[in-house]
Amino acid sequence: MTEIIHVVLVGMVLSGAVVVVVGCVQFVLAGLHIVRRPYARVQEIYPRVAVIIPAWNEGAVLSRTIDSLFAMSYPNEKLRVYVVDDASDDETPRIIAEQVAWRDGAVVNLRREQGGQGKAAVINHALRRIQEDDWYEGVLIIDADVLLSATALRRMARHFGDRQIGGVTAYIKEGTDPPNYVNRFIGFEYITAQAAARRAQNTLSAQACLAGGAQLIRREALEHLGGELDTSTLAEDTVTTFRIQLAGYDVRFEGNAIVWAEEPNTIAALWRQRVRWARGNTQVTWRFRRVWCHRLRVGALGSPIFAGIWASVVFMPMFMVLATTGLLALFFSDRRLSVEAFQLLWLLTGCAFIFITGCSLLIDTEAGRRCWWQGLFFPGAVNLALILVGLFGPIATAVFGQQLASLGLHGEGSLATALLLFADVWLTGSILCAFLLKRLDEWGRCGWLVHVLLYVVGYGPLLCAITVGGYVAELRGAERRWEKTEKVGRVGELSA
Amino acid sequence: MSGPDLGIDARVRVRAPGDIWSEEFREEVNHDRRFEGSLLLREMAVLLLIAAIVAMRVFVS
Repeated sequence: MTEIIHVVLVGMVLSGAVVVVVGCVQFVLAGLHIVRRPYARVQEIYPRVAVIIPAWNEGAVLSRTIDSLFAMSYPNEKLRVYVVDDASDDETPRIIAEQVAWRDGAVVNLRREQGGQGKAAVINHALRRIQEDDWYEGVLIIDADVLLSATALRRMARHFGDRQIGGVTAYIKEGTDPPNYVNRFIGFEYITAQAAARRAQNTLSAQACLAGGAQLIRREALEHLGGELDTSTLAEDTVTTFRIQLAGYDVRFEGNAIVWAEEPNTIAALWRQRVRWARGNTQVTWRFRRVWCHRLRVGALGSPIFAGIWASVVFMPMFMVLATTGLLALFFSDRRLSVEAFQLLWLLTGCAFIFITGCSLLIDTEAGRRCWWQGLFFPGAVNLALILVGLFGPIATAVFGQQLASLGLHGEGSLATALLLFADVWLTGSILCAFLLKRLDEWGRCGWLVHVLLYVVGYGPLLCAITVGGYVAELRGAERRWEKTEKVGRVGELSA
Repeated sequence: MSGPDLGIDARVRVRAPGDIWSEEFREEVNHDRRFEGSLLLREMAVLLLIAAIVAMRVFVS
């Protein structure tokens, strides 16, 4: 009986590595992307595209975004831009009026006097207008702050040469100039969460999300959805992506179509944005509960690997709590086994960390050069130390065993025991520390301390804490309000 | 693509039947295809590093 319990506890400990192991699987799948021949059916086509820009108080960024659309290497006569002014009370109406006058019918102003109903409702307002005539062949939905690189739309639209493709999303990169430490962490995160993860999903023929900041939808696919986006969740982009695929279309990530966006530059702002995303993911998990692991019913979207990837994101904090529980139970029941399970967990995590970080830096070398330091400290300094122990602990013990024992860092000493207990608790403890870090950032008086502590606690644990925040908000039935991320026009000169 | 056509090849280049892509578009697709094809090799390089660390760990302990 004891042995069975120990096996279960070791299994719980190893669940702490699920997230990074699934991350490795995604990188392997991303490497195999070419096997799916992603460019076998592309065509040089330039469909007529209706661009929708939802705008609420976007005076600082809107003009430049519209200019970037008409500066693309895409025939301007094939573009119509519909700006939905969601009852803005800043410079937005004036900027739209100027663009409408200047662009000679290529920019359309759709003013809503009653705002605040959420992004999906704003987009639907434009979709109704666009479908009044027969002009459009595709709809490009972008955020008001994103800047498309010159070839972005052309690279996306070429996939419409394959009539099976219902939607294409671009690679959104963090483009703040100069970036602060939060921007750089996000920049690195986007390499893993987009450049790698979405290529992996291309390989699986199942995409989780056409990024809301830059998604191109084929007219026929949109009509399959009834011509409108779903407004019942906080993740209208993910719901749209699932519905397009369930309607029988494929959805593609085009990693070479680069779009630059301005992302939050404080932990508090990041928290607001990501709690909305986490809540949206929770809602999607429940809404599409009959999709997960039902390959026969829904095709690639129901593959177990895709379900695993989704679960590793949505249930990330639960794995950490499970691992900590297992480690603590072993610590108090079988110290030797506890140490062995601990070493195995961190060896696995360490190998996965090197693989994920190394591949990230090589997949997007431009972002990698900007964000490699944040990539190194993505798990936080404490977790990084534990990774080093997992990878090189036995080597250090073999070489410096006596010295470590004399310092109390190795063996049965009280310092070694206390350190082991601290390390066992840290996986979950770091999530709590990340929550306190957010409170400290909201307090607004210790910016330098927040900066340092984020490197100590880690951006990964912060994302875990935000996911917990999303659970809590859903459980207490918090209002489904659209908390806009403030954009002030910090995206620098385009580099791609 | 094996590089730009030169001399007489550039003047008398004959397109294959059904070839309606512009040179710019063709270059772009080839560039992207090469990049996607290189991803696996990049990942293999990182795997070699990990294999070396694990081997060292096993060897020493």
